[in-house]
Formats: sequence, structure tokens, C-alpha cells
Amino acid sequence: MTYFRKQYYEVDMKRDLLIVNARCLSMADDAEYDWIAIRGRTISDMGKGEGCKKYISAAVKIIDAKGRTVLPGFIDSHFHIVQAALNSRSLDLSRARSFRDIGTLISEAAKASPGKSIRGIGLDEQNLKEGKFPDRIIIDRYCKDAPVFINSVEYQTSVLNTYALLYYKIPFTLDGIDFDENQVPTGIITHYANVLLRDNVLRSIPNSIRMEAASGFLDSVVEKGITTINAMEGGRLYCDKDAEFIYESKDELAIDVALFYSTTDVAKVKEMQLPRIGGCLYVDGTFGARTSALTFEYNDCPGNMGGLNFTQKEMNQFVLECYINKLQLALYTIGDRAIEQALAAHEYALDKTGNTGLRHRLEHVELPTLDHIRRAKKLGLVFSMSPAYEYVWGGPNKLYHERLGENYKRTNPFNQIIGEGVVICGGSDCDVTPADPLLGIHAAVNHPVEPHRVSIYEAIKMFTCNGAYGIFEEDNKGTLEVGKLADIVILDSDILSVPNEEIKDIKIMTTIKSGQILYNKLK
Amino acid sequence: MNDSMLSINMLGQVNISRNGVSITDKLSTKLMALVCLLVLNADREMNRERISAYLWPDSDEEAARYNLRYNLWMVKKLIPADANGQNFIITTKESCRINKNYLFQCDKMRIDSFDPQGKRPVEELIQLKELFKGDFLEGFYLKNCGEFNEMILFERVVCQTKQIEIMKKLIDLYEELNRWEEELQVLHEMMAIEPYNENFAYRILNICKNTGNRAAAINYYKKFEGKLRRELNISPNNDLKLLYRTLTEEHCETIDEYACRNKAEKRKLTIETHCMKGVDFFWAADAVRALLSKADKKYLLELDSNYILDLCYIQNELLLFYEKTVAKEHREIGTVPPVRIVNAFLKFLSHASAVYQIQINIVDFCDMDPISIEILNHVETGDNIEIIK
Repeated sequence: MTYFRKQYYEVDMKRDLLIVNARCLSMADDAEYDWIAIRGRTISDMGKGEGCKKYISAAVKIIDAKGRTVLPGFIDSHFHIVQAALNSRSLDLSRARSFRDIGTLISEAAKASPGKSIRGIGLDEQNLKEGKFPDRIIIDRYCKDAPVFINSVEYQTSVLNTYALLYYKIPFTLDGIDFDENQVPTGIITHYANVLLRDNVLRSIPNSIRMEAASGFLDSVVEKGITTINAMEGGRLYCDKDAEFIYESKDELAIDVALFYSTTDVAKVKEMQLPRIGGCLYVDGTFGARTSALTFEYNDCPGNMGGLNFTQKEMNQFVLECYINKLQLALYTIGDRAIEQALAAHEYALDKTGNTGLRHRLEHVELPTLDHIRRAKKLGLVFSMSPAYEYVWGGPNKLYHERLGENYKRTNPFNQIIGEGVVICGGSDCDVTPADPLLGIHAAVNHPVEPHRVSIYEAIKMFTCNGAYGIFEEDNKGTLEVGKLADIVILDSDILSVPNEEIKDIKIMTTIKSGQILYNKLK
Repeated sequence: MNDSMLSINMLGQVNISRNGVSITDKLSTKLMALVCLLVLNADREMNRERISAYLWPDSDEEAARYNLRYNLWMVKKLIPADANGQNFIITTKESCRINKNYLFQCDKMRIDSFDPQGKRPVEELIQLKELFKGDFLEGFYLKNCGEFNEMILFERVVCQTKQIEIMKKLIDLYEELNRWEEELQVLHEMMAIEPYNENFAYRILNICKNTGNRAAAINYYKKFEGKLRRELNISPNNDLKLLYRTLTEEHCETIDEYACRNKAEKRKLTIETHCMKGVDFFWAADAVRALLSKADKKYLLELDSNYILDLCYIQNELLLFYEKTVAKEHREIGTVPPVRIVNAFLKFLSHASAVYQIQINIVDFCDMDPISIEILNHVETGDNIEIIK
């Protein structure tokens, strides 16, 4: 089913909705309510006890929550909607452990849609027993009658079969084409050639396909209780056409989308009248690829401390330009050296302009020091973090530990950040981790390093009111209050009573966006 | 082009024409592939079995031989003998080949005859450049003919490489002839093929600068810088940055302090340096430290990073500041040979003296380590560098 917002507005604009027998956590001043009345797009009343009776006769629908938790609709503060949507329609190779596994999956896909191009995603050479990417000869064994275009897990490498090498426009003279001993391309493409190839391929996807994919994908997002996303679109390894698509089409989507255009082109963003810039503006890289900038060497790669993509001078100039133009800026920072560079640039720009109140954001911020956190607080920065990283990569013998050694104990110190007064808004970085705020809440509450854990209430704030604060929308959403948008989720249990380790298993029963029921499992 | 001639174009979509009229529609894909294969191997005879292996690898021997016979017959039918009575293809029982005496022209053969070392007139290079209508055998893919498809891949690489070589040759020639506009046009075409090529961008900027089109040069740099940042997340290289700086300096005297320094009297800088006999490079390292403490660090770090990193081997403070200020991803500094350290030191000093008048006071000269003494002997003293022992 595809949700188009306009249809709902036309049908249900004036109908009243009543949620009763609920445990409504308003997320404002710790206030709790038993019932919520909704008129049109907004919350018209809330209360405890019998007060709801006066609304029963006018209500078109009454939802009996049966004591379950009712929360503000979740806000996912870091989300790659277009690529996640397109990826959801691609062949997932993340579980492949050998060339044979890849081949089996490709053969099945080719059989299911003969002659159609196959886009594989998530291939990680480190997971393959062969320890390297397959070349075109290998892929040809499984499919030679249609283009096969495989993306590595972080999009740094593409693998093509012979058909695809001949089908797509390949810039063979660019850096990044791998050749065999006969000077014939092997189909493994990296560096500049990969960037250009990806751009060619992604640009060739028509916007109608983007819309179809995004609308379909949002069905699953709504089922997870998400009513607003911060869409990090465009930029390196993604495609500016994605950002332009969201800019033009966001009002047609079922939920609210705040566009973060990952560009350094301030003039362009101003011209588009966007209030913000950035999102995935990579100050450094990733722990996975050992490219995040650290102040120490990678545990599993001595001599490597990762790297920064900007000089301090360049960063200072860019951040200053954002301050001068009063744009909210979101910078992608992971390692402590990247965080330091971003903070230094903010300090420089603030010193030069004195402009405050723009709620600039650092995205991910996985390895901040106490000094970083305190300086961020002084600067009024918001940390947009992905707690589910800890669920996937945190704790002993997982990726953080492998890459950072004992420094894994320093990652994502949520409790310390909140304690110092910095606002954290939570995101999934979908599709790096699943679009599932309850998993994010679970991960923040059950952080593998105990001192970094936060209370359930604080974790919920990350995905509700703090998320709204991160995009200047706290007057409209993020809490359940009269006059605010009726963005509401009903869980299948009382989240405050569920054992911490079972939070991730909580299901969404109902999702309401601006007064419209988009998803409902309750009778 | 002679219209009465057979013309075979393999760059872009395959087109075969006779007397100026395309006969491509009458040819099957396999037949076109056969013609292309023979033309690509025009200087040798091709064994029939070899051709069959390219074009009918899945057929049994008899079927493959029949297919080849049939297609050769079709070629003969569609491409009749030329005015001199010569057949296009010479066949024997065992092999076939293109008849060299047959009058025909082929874009790919013309491209292959280009020797990047040789000298060619502009007109010929332009003609060669114009031959690139698209990729080699664009849109071609023969199902189950792995070897043939591989040959296409190989030739596409060859053709793209040739295309760039021809264009490079042409821009060099234009430059010699001061034909800036035409050079610029070809450079833009080259940038469309290799959009991140900093050498091409440098030349474009330089032409704009030399022809007095400063605004165009600045705009171009900004666009290119934005593209590199957006798509590769990198900055332009130092050469481009410096060229850009000269563009902004020339007309905007107050913008850049270094530009002002070049024009105005250089600032005098006095540094005090110390020696330690038993430690190699001690004095040189101390001179770097002293310069860092007194001079504009950002300027000092504008020296090519390879020199900076070599010098970091003897002066850790430089490395710390490099990471903090420039902080680009840098190569691991392993053992640096003395010759590179010496060279880097001299470059560093020369770079500093470009904007400062430096007086170096050496304390306890008699304790200077032997390597530093040798280095000092190579320091060019004069107006900009004065050594006081």
C-alpha cells in the first residue's frame, strides 16, 4: 500500500479521533494523560479520568489503547531515504560469505526477473572467504544476459559483470579501473572512476522510480512509528538528484521530511530557501573502512589514524560562511580528531560573527571527549547520534572493539553528553541500521558500556522532543500537547514496565500522522 | 571522405556505408561483428576456427563453419567488389582476411595509426578528434561470445586512451601556436571526459588568466573546487590553489596578507637557534621549530606536503601543527633518508624566505652537529637569509 498524504487530508480533515485507556507520555514536563482527543491535524484536548466522555459522541473513531504506552510520533534524525528506498529494492549481498553465495543470489534474481538489470548492495569483501571482490568473469558465470552492478558495503567499490561494463558508460581512463594482465578491465571499479560511474548510474534512475521506491519504503517506516525523518540526501557517493527529488516531492510523501542537503554549495541552498545545509558532509570517514580521524592508531591497523577531508582552514571558511548566511549546519564527524576540527571551526566562526541560536549539529559524533562535549555545550551544538550503532558494533569483540581496541569503551557516551547538557537527537542512519526508533531506544538504554547507558525516558526524548528541537520544530511536534500536530504512536505494551533488555521487541500498534491513521493493528 | 568508398565506423554505434549510403540496417549483428573482427585484424589472416571461436563459441564445429560460410557470402553480397574488381574479403579454405587492396576507410584504423610521439598538423589532429562519436562498438554485446565481448572491452580502453592522447597533442599544439580559444574549447571537452583532472583544470585557469579573463578563471576555479568537494570530498591540489591565489591577489591587494608581502617590503624575522653536537640534524630541527614559533604557520604549511612530511621526521612540532592545521590524511612517516630531509629543509627555508627577511642567530655554533653544518653550507644566504654565528 502506498500512502499519499493529500488523499488523507481530503477524506478525514474534519473527523474527530479519540484515544482512550492510554498511558500517554507527553514528553513535556513529565506529564502523563489517560486520553487524547484529536481534531483534524492537531491534538485538541488531553486529560485524565472521565473527561474524555464529552468527545465520544463526536468521535468518528475511538481507539482503546488498553493501558499501552502512547508516545509522540518518532522523529528519526538521520536517514537516507532515497538510497534506503532504492536499496530496499536491490539485491542484498551483505550476508554473502563466498563467491558461490553471491552467485546463488544473483542467479535467483536473474531467474526471477530475466533480462532486468541487477543492483547488488552491501557486499563486504572482508566477509568473503576468498578475501577479495569477485571479478566480472566470476559474476558472468551467474548472469551474463543483463547488467549486474554491485555496490560494496560503503559504496567505495563497484563490481560489474561484462554486460554491465559494456552497458554503462565507463570512464576507463580515470583512476580506479582495475585491469587484468591483458589490460582488460576486471570489472572492479574504485576511486574516481567509481564516483563517476555511480553518478552516471544513479542519475539515470528516473524520479518516478524514486517516488515508487520511497512511497513503498515509507510503509515500513510508518510501521515502526516514524512520523518525521531528517533526510540526508545528495553528496559524495550518493547523488544530488536524490536531494533535488526530496526537495520537489517531500509534500507528496506520507510523513514529514526535513531535507538536509549534503553539499558545501551555500549559494545553492540559499537559492532553494532551505534553512539548513549538510547532513553527510564527511569531515572524516568510517570506523569500518578505518578512515575516521582518530588521535590514536587503529587497533587493527597500526600506523593508521584515519584522515580528515578538509584542512582546518577550509573548514573554518565553510563554517564561517554558514554562520554568516545563518544556515543551520550539520557536519558528519565520527572520530575524535574530526570532532575536534569541527568544534574548532565552530569556535572560529562564532568568534568572527557572534551568531548564535542556529542549533548547528554534529552527526554521529561517536568518539567525543569530555572536553569536546563541554565545548559543544558552550557553542549550543546538537549531537545527532545513532544509538543502534552500539547494538550492532558496540561491546567486546565487535567492530568498535576490533578497530579501536580498549577505546571502544569511549564510544557514544550518551549519559555523559546528556549530563553535560548537550541535546542528543536520535537517528537510525537508515539503512546502515534499520529504521526502528525502538531499537535505537533499546540500544541507548542497554549501551554495552554501563556508564554510558541512559534512562528509558531520556532515550525516548532522543527520538521525540529532542528530534523536534534538532530541526526547530518543537512548537509543532515532538511532544503530546494541545495544539500540536497529532503525530502519535501506540505501542503494544507499557514501555516503562518492560524489562530493559526487551525494549527492542516492543511492537508498534498504531501510527497517526497529523491526525491520520497511517497504520493500525488495534481493533 | 570519398563517397564512393566503403566506410566502416566503429566509434559510436556501428555504421557501415557504401557510396555514402548506410547499409547497416541490412546487416545482422553477427555479420557486423564479423566485419569488425576482420578489420581489427586487417594485418593478418584469421583462421576460420578462430573466427568461429569468437562468434559462435557454443555451436558445434559444423554449424560454426556453416554460419561463417553463410556470413561471408552475405558480406560478399552486400559489399560487392570495388571499382578495381577487388573483393572486400579474401577467403581460403582455412582462413579469411580483409583485402588490403580494397578501397575502404575505417575510423578505428585511422585512430590506431596515430602515434603520440609523432608530429601531426593541427588539421589532422582535429579530424582524428572528430572521429570519436562514442564508445567503441557502442551498444554491442554478443550473448555467449565472451572472447568477442572481452575484445570490445579491451578496444574501448584503447580508444578512450587514444582520444585523450590526441586531444593532449592538440592542446599542446594550440598552445605553441597561441590559439588560446581553441585550446580552451578542447580542454573543456577533455574535462567532460576526465572531470577531476587537475592538470586540465590548471591549464584552463592559466589560459583564462593569460588572456586577461580573470573573472572566468575565478568562476571556473570555484566550480571545480565545488565539484571536487561534492563528488570526491577533496580540495584542489596546491598548484591549483596557488594559481588561484595569484588570480585573487593581482586585483585585490588588501585581501591577502601574503600578496601584500610580496609587493611590500618583506617583514624581518629574527630567530634564535641552538646546537647539539651528538644529535644528527639537531640545529636544522631547531631552526624549523624557531621558524614555526615566529612565522605565520599557515603560510609555512603551504609548502608541498611531501616536503613538510619529510621534515616532520626531524621536528615533531611541525607534525603536530600540520595535523592540527592542515590535517589532511597523510602517508605514514617511516624512515626518511637524510637526503630528503636536507632537501626538504632547504625548500622550507626558501619558502619562508619568499615572504620574510630571515635572520638566523646560531647559539653555540661550535656544538653544531656535522650534518647540520653540511646543510648550513648549502643555505643560500643573501638579501632574504642572513646567518649570524
